[in-house]
Amino acid sequence: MVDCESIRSKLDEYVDGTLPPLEYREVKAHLIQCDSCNKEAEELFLITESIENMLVDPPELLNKRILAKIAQDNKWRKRRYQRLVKWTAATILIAGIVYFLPRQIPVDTTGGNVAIHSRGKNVIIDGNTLHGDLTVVGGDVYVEGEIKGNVTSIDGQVSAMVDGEGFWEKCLTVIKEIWRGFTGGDSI
Amino acid sequence: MFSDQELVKMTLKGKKDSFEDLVNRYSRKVYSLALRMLRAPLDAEDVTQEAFLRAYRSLDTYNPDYPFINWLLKIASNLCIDRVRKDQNVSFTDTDDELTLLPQSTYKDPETATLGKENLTELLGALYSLPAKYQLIILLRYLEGLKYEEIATILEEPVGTVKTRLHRARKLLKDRYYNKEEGEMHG
Ligand SMILES: [Zn+2]
Repeated sequence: MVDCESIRSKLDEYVDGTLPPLEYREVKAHLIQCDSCNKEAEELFLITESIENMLVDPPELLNKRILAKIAQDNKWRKRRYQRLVKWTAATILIAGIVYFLPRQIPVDTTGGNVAIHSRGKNVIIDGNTLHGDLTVVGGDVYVEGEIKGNVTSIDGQVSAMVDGEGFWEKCLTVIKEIWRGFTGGDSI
Repeated sequence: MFSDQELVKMTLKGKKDSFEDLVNRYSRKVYSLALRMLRAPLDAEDVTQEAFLRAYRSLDTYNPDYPFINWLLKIASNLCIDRVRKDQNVSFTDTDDELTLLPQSTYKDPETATLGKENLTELLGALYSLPAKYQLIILLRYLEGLKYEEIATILEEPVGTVKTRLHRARKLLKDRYYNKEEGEMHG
């Protein structure tokens, strides 16, 4: 004869239908003879079955509202994506400009020969005329003005600004080109 | 008729109508859980919308080895618990207040109900008086009909914990429901 306590501990799973067949039959047999355990089981059944019946239909328009919200989210996400692409492009551009920007070192053009240790920066000789030689150590040289003497760059390159196009005009052309590539025709 | 997994795949490929099928299929289950957790129909609608939206946004993280509805109910459960916690700071300090918040006009009297409408309202009252995590586990088990293992996955708890918690929740619910009834008979 099984005791009530061991039956009670199995009632949950009995009600849930998860007891193995042998134990299920054991509990069922006990419930027929024992009023107090049977009452306990019936109460559990009543409660759990009542909760099973608590499913409700949502308001009629809820599904449509959900789908509208998702559609809205889609549009918003698309717009956000486009904005993100533009901002990324702009950021890359600015970073690029800053990176490639010849960090200018002022050159005193009034004297004769000039020697500069540029410490990684680039040297621009702008519109002025340098009468002597120019020697730069450790950086590129952009010659936009006129140098009467020799230009020497140690560890760097010497570039001339040709075609009358200044450095900034050149930059701007490149920027516009990159921007067109990113945005497919949009202007800044 | 496509399976949930097929509908998810199609949605991910850009076929919008596929997600609509999933919404039509499961909004009832999600809404019912939310309503029974939150009591207020407007809150339940809110959470249902939010749950589907979140599911849609993170659809690519859904693991098709598990039933879609379980994943959806997990999202909804978390939203409900969050909201209950937030609300607890504001209201629901008194059990009597909770009873006045019953969604009495919104629940349908089920034809097969084993309890009359009045008793069902009382059972709901007892359910609402339980701690939120007990409410949730009872609803996942009986309202949604999930197995212990499935509940364990949703709650991210071991199956043993689920069984223990479910046992306590059921006992508490039964005690509160029947004690209330007795109390009324005597008083
Ligand atoms: Zn017994």
